Amino acid sequence: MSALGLTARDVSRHWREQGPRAALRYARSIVRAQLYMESDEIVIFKDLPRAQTAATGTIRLEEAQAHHLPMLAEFNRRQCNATRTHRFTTGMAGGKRALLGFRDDALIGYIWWHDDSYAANDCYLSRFGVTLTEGEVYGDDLFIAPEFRGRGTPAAFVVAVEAELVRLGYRRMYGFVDATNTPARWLWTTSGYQVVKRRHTYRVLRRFEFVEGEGVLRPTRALLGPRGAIGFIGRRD
Amino acid sequence: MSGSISNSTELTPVQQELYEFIAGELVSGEGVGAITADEDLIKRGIVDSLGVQMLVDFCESRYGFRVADADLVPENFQTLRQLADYVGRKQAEGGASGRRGLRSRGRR
Repeated sequence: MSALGLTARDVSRHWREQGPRAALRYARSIVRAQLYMESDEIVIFKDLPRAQTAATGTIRLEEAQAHHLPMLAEFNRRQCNATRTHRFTTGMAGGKRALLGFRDDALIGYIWWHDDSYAANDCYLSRFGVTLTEGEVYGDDLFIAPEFRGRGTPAAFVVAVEAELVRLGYRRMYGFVDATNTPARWLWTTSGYQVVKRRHTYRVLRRFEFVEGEGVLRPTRALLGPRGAIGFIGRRD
Repeated sequence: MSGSISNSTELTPVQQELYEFIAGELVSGEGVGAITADEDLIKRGIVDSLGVQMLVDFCESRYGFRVADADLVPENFQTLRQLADYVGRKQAEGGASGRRGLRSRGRR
């Protein structure tokens, strides 16, 4: 299904399940993002601790596999976001990896990540002049379902993810967050992530990008790629 | 609903306001016990990723300044005392710049 079709389906679900006001708000945000976006982008990183001290017992991780897709489709359907299911399908086919978080048997959220072996395909970090090297990963989309936010669950998920990445032999994780996404900024800050670089950008028609301080208006194919979103945790939609 | 928290003595007026907001909105009905001016609100799970958003919204609407991204650090939100001190500093910086900040934030 085309991106337009998926978006139309999501708007329709918002209408059915949350009412016309939510559907209009969702549609307006989609249209606005297509036309013009202004954002404060921040790249963060953390050197992963070799031994995790926090308790992670309440969160269980599984690496996303094809057999998880029906579960993810249902999970995303509850968020009225079929687009994410499409991204899971294409992302996994393209070699990206995701860790799914479970509390008891309930899927609470996920994080996409990749290392330097995938980075050449399309790494959002490259726009900030950051290049992944061996042992480094980029977590490019963290999402926690609204019903599981708060009460330390997102932080426990991050700790569990870090422990898994350390187990896999990685030593540093980069991430990306929008400065206006307060919950996400707080999560990463209190989890020990430091700011690498920040920039203020203006995007027009998702094709042209003006970076404050750099003074260039440039066409950017990558804007059609990942929508840099480690901060989805805080979105109120 | 401040009944879920035992109030601390000797809170300043701003600390008291923040305390009442926290007691009423962040921990209502959870019976977390007493909060003192120097108690670690982060460790106690009171100021988590959602709680901090509510605190930011409250501070911006109640005290009329913008919480800048750079201010979003534990040192400003860890205890009632630190939070009240932060509010005091922002108020001292002047209301005019704070209102400009709020408008610019609203554009995004």
